[in-house]
Amino acid sequence: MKSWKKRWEEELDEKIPELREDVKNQPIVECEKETEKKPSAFTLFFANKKRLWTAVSACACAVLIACIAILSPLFFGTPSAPSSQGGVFAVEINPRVAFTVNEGGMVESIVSLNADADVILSDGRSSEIEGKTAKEGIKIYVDYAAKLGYLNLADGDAVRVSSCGKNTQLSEVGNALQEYFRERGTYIAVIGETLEAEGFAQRIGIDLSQTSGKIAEYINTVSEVFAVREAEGKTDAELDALYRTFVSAEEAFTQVRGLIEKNLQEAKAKAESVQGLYSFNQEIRSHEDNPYRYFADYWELKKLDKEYSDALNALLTEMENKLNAYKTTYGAEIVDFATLTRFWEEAEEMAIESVFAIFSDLTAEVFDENPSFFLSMLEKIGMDTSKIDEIYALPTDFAEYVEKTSAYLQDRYAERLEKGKAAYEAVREKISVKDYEGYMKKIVDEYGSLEGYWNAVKK
Amino acid sequence: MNTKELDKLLLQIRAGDNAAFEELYARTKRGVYAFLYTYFGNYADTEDAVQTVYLRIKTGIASYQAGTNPRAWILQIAKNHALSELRKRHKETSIDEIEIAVEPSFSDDTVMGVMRKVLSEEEQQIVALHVLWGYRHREIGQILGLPTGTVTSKYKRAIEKLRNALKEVGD
Repeated sequence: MKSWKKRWEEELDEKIPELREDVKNQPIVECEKETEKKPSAFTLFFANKKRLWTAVSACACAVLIACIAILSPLFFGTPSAPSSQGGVFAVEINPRVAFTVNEGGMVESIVSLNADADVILSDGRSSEIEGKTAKEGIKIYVDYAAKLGYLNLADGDAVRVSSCGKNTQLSEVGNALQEYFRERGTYIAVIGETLEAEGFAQRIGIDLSQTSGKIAEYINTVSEVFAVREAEGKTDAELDALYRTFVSAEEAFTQVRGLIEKNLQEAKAKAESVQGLYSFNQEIRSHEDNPYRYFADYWELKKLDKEYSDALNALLTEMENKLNAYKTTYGAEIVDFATLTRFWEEAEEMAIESVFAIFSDLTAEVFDENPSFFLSMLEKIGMDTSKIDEIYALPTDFAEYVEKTSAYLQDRYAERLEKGKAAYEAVREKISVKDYEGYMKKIVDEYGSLEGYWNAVKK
Repeated sequence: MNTKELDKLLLQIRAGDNAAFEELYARTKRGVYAFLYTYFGNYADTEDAVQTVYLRIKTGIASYQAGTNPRAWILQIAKNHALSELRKRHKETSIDEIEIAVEPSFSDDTVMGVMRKVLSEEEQQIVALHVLWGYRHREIGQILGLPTGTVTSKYKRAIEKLRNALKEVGD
């Protein structure tokens, strides 16, 4: 029996056509020999793009200038024939990203330029942006930044959008962002700037001492994720150190604290729930309509199944509902008084308030001195502490670094989303065009220019 | 085909060697075709796309940098063409037209047909990149923006689904 791989190859061989004559006869467009001279603005503009199609575009454009005569009409007729209408954008808040926009005005790719942008783009979020128009894509990105609290929606902030190339979309992007902020009722200054290739390369951190070919080579292999790019070529030991620059001991402890707080809150709520059930059962036991007052509790009354007063029946129904709710929330069924007592004693034993007190002032240093003591306390309240071990463990190789960093970024995303929720969802009155313009004018008056304002608030 | 050989072929093409180009086609066409098929799902569009991709390799070969990542370079051209073509169609064609435009494709008892039927687009790509292009899971993760562990588990799951489905159609 043939393996499926062999079968697959045979099916493909049978189906794949020969090369068409026009493709066979298409002359190969040879490149000019690479020189060490500084790249021109034109070539750098295209070299700044991450995706390979742009590298193809770059060279095709260079060749277009040098050898226009040898290009066939077919070259111009292909769907994505390179043109100079695409462009590159950098969007800075604190998270910094670069976008490439293709000749159709659509976002081709987005690359993170710092760790904060990695958080925004974690979990494949770039796919929501790629394929959109420049203004839509950048708006989606900025909206995520707002959701995650990277923009101070309450007190005002600034966004700087830089573009490079013969790009006519900067004003559209700027207007769309201003409209977005006005609609959300927040005074965020949108600063737009068109740069020459050299300035743009500097802004996104490309080494200008390289030749255009080398820059293209770098861009062709670059990962979208800043943390991954930083790790490429590092030894395992260097990866550990690098991992700690992203996830410092202090930050790891912040994560641990977040986990502990969440677990403590849950443990506290559970204990309070048990205590509430215990009190309610006592209320039933001592109710004046209870025919076996002080002797029969909820479970015994249910078992006896007698006619009870309306008031007592109402209490029995309420207790039943409370027990069902407990089961739904905590997955444990309280079937009799003995079980309730056991749960109540456990809640007491946890001395949840004292655990809270111990952990409320805990610092990274104190935790590091005797982690097993604290972990045993947490295990006592039913917390799964393996997550904490994971947070402290350093990656052993590149694959693990990528995996751990990716998980870390996704956790940060979820955490920031939760923290930023209130500010993002706060209802604010829309801002009129006139008021927004007045605000921008005021900034210019106060700081001399928008760039001056940017430098004052962001640097 | 390993990276060094592929790199060498691309450099020969860059120097104007048309025979090297034809050899490149012979040695990479399966991978390019299967990769593009995951996007289009029918013969006609995939065949057109294959021709365009190789045309672009010829016209854009000057931008290929020696010693970089030749497989990624080819695949990126393929991916960009497929996405650009699909986006163009999405813009130009109404949903009704897309639904009725049924093109002939691999029958359900072929490996390609079964893959199309039981695997997601991402799973098909992972399998194609690993089996036809020889990429390691870590590299696939970098290409598709997925953690290595995710690629490994998706690959295992995909192969299991594929094998089961092939058994059902009488492998």
